[in-house]
Amino acid sequence: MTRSSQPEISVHEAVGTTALPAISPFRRTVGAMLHNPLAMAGLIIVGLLVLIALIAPLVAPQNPYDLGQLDIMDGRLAPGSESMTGMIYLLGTDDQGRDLFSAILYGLRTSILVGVVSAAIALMIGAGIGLISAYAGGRTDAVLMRIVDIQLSFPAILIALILLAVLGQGVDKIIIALVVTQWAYYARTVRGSALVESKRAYIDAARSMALPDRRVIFRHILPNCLPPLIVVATMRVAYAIMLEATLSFLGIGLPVTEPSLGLLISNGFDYMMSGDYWISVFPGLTLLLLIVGINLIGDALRDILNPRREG
Amino acid sequence: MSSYLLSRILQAIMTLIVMSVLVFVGLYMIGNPVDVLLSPSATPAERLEIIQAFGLDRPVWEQYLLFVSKALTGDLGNSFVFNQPALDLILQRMPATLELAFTALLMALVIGIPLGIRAGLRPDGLVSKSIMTFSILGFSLPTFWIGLIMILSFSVQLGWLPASGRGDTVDIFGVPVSFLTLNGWTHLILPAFNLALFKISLVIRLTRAGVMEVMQLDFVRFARAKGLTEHRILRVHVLKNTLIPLITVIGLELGSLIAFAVVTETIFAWPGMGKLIIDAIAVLDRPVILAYLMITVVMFSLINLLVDILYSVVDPRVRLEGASR
Amino acid sequence: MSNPILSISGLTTSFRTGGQWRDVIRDISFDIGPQETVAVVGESGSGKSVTAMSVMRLLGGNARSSGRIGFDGRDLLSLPLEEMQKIRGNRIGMIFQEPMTSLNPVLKIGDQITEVLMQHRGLDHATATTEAVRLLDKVRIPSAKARLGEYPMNFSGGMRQRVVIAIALACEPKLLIADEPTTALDVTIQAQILELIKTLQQEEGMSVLFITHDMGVVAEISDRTVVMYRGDIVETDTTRQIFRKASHPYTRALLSAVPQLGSMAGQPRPLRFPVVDMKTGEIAPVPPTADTVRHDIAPVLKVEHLITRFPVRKGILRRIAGRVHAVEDISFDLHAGETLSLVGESGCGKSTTGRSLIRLEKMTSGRVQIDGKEVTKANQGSLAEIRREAQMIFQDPFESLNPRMRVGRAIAEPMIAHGLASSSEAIRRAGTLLEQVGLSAAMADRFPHEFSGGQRQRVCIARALALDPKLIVADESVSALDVSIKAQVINLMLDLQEKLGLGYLFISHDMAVVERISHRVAVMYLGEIVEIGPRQSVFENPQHDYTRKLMAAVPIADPTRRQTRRIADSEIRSPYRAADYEPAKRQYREISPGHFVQLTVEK
Repeated sequence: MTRSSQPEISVHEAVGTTALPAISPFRRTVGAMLHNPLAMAGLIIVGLLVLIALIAPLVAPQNPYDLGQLDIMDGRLAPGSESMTGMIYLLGTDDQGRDLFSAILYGLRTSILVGVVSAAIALMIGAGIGLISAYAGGRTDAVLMRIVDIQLSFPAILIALILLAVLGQGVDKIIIALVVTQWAYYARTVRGSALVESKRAYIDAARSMALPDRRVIFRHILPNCLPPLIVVATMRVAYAIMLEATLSFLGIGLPVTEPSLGLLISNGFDYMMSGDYWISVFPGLTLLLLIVGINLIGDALRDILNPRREG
Repeated sequence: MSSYLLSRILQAIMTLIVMSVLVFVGLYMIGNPVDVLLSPSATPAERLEIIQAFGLDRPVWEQYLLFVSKALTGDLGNSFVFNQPALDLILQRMPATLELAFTALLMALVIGIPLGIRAGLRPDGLVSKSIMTFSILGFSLPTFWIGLIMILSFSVQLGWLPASGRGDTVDIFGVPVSFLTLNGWTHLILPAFNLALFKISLVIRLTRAGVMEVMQLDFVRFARAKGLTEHRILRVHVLKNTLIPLITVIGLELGSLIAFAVVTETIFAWPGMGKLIIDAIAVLDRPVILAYLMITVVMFSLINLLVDILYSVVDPRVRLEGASR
Repeated sequence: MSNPILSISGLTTSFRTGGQWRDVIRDISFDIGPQETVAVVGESGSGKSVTAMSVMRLLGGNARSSGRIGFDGRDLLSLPLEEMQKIRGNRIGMIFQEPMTSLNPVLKIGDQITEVLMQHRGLDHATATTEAVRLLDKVRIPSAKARLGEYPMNFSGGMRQRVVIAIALACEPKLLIADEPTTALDVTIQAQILELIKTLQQEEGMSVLFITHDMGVVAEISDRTVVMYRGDIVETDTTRQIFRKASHPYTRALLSAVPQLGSMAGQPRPLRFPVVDMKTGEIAPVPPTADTVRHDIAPVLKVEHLITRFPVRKGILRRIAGRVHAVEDISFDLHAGETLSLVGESGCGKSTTGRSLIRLEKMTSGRVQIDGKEVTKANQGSLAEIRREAQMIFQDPFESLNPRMRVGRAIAEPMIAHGLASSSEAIRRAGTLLEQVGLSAAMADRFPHEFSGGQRQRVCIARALALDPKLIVADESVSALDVSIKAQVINLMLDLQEKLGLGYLFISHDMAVVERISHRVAVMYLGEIVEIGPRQSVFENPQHDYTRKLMAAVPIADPTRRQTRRIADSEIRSPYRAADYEPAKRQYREISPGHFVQLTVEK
């Protein structure tokens, strides 16, 4: 329309990318994930494990929590043994005659549930506090971040130990303990990226257009804090699952009636020396597979979502 | 410099106060303190004695002060199980835990830093990719499970190394240590490596990230333009900038190693304070739990303080900012 | 030319991206003679820096070069790395753009100088230290000896660039490669560094390869000039010849887009930049600018005694130890259709002024009225209404758009949030606005990363126009753009002013651009306005010492007007003051109608 605005040629045009349709950052991320073999491996592993955990009651030959279905006579049978009733124990049995394959499926359920639920709650609390801290600034920020610093200077396992010593055992208790040990990581991540984002000019632009605070926080700042948050959350879920297993292994996490993977490994510990390796090894391998899978995804996300690589 | 130090010391004291309040609230307010301090089999007379000794009939703030003053004199109650002062129990076992934690830390640094540098210098090479895959595995392996596998392979199957205990010790200044005898070493090496594994991965990743970041900075390019050899650029320019931030991490990780020793000590029957606390939790020996808690709080605050001081000595930016701003 | 120092022939450098090799520079050839200065000039993406880095072989593993780079009778491209290391920093010195990051932050300055001397000249530490003092003296760093033990963070940007030059010259190289060495510096500091490079070149008798995007600097410093465009050399000639009669259309376009300080003498109104046809090189005549200033109605912006100070807290108790007096008692008005420029160097408070006006920064005291409405005491609701009238355009077009929002949405968002339009109506208007700034409505669906820098800045302008404002605060809005793009965006801004009667508060450090587009100018220094008045009057008859210094420091894109300047080696002062500091009341004198200059007070 104007004399002067002759179209300038951009680098993109020179390279010829403008012919492509507009790609959202989300779709770019998904695309990059699909082209990364390690990430794909992680996605497949985690996908399969989550799937069989979800349908555990349908595929497990036995309900490991139902003591009536257990036969102590079948205790510590090697993988592939046959039960009195003719059922094949694919992965053997534990000391109480529990089918390990079924126990692993159910244990996986518990592990994933505890990991995901605690991470989700911790994320919401942490992200909320992080945003408040970044947006309020000043004294509020200083106090909140001091608390986060102090909390983070104490190892997660220590805090969890103490809490469980006070609270006792149970799925709800361990979720509380995991939330308490993890929220600070999310708070620090969100606060850090929110501070970086809120100093960038597009936030100034949003404010200079007098957009309401709520809109600035939730439509502009938060979406741009998501990439680091997603990476941290992925890694933290893996860590939460591992921590739960560790605590259960130590006998202060989940009760014996709800055998999670950690407890199964712990049960097998005593029999390991006598050569009944499978009671510990198979649940351990499952746990390892799950955590490796999640970490592979997290690692790939970290590379893909690295802000320096965004153009 | 001095104002920086002062503020750090004040912060450490603040942390201690806050933590003592939290512990006090946790143990005194939520549970019944009499139950905390007294074994369930105590007689009513003993009960009354405790109530008076700890002033449980007085106002809350007085109780807190009493708790603090008792804690400061090292009186944290007697263990129900051992019937000894809880603090003494903890202190007796601390050297074993510290030996384990420091050995693991040393392993993490000696193995982790070179591998991390290698992976950071040529991030796309096959060697670097293998190192990184190993590190993902390293922090995905649950410590307790890999400990079991290590016992299974090295002790049960191969019979190379002992599976439990601390072995022969030698006293240094009255403190027993394992690392001076061959037998002690054979006992130390498996648990220490077990404890270190997670941290090796962590150090690899942090070092690699640091090296990769520093290598892209302008001053490295300028150092090349100065005609310096790659060796000197790495040794003088890259390493210093990479390793300084690692100091903070090392401090935090030392604390974490001490805490995670709980797991390793349980598996390898290492007679440290981690094993003690797990046993105490199992039988609800609360004075021991309390003593362990207070000791670790003090220890971590000291470590953090030392790290801050060390950092300010090594990094001119922290040192000078502290002075001028 | 007899025996060139550096002789580049057929140099092609490619980078590997996504498994493919792509040429970044193609078939580059030119020579540099003894004691000659050759400038390589071009816009971003022209390959000028890649050329310099190829000579030093600093491009890393995903780049490869072919051709020949003759230096000292040898081909640098075929030397083994050890031999190349003996040349770098020894026979060829190099300095880079960013003085703030070129030095290692955790090593003492002294060690960073002596390591070169020990490496190349085999000196022992004591001799190297003595030599380092001599070098720092040479680049005019005061009390050199004492400063050897200090860290880079104790030096200002200009001082760091001097240290970098000292290191580059430590081994008396035959060739100095300077890659945009003054781009990150303020104009007075730039003048000092350029002068220093010129002097040292004569003292040392070396040749200089000078990489720059700035035609003014080219005219100022180089004997011959190589013009690059998208990886090719389009023209090589003596600098005088290029400026007098460039043969390539691109060079002509580039030159026509460069504002020359002083070229506006006798012009009362702002002037568009001429548009050059890239094929024929023909220059279209510049259309006259209409008189847009509305003196007949009340000013759209009125600022009285504005003060913005930032407290600096120290110690454990976080007591206020001092304050940065970012903006100190400034007053001015701006009429509809008028452009008032705030000009000054970094830290002068020009940006803080702009941000304080719409309360992006909290002002300490003073009174601001926008379109007759009081900003100072406005509550959230009325502030929102005021901000509709005054919009901002920021410096970095890569930063000022939310990367996760389609640009159409970004433009529509303020209309929706202010309830001015329904969602569909706003999206439709966003398309119209995009067309108004010279883009197409179809681009509304794209994300910011799909646009070039100039296009993004147009999007930002469209967004600023969405609320139909009367005033636009343009904070260094064209500073980050390439010369030719800059000219186009400025032309667009002038078009919009004519069409919509916008008032512009144009914040810039670039004196030449300011001269081209302003009706009035205010020169800022240490938070204060030292001189304000009609553009013609201020530029043709500058009164304040600082205004004169600033104007003298600007490199002029005309080699026939080359001057040896005497810019004192002073640093830019900081507006940081002790907590109990009370600034003196300033007096102004009216030189000519509307032209005020601050009177210097005895301290």
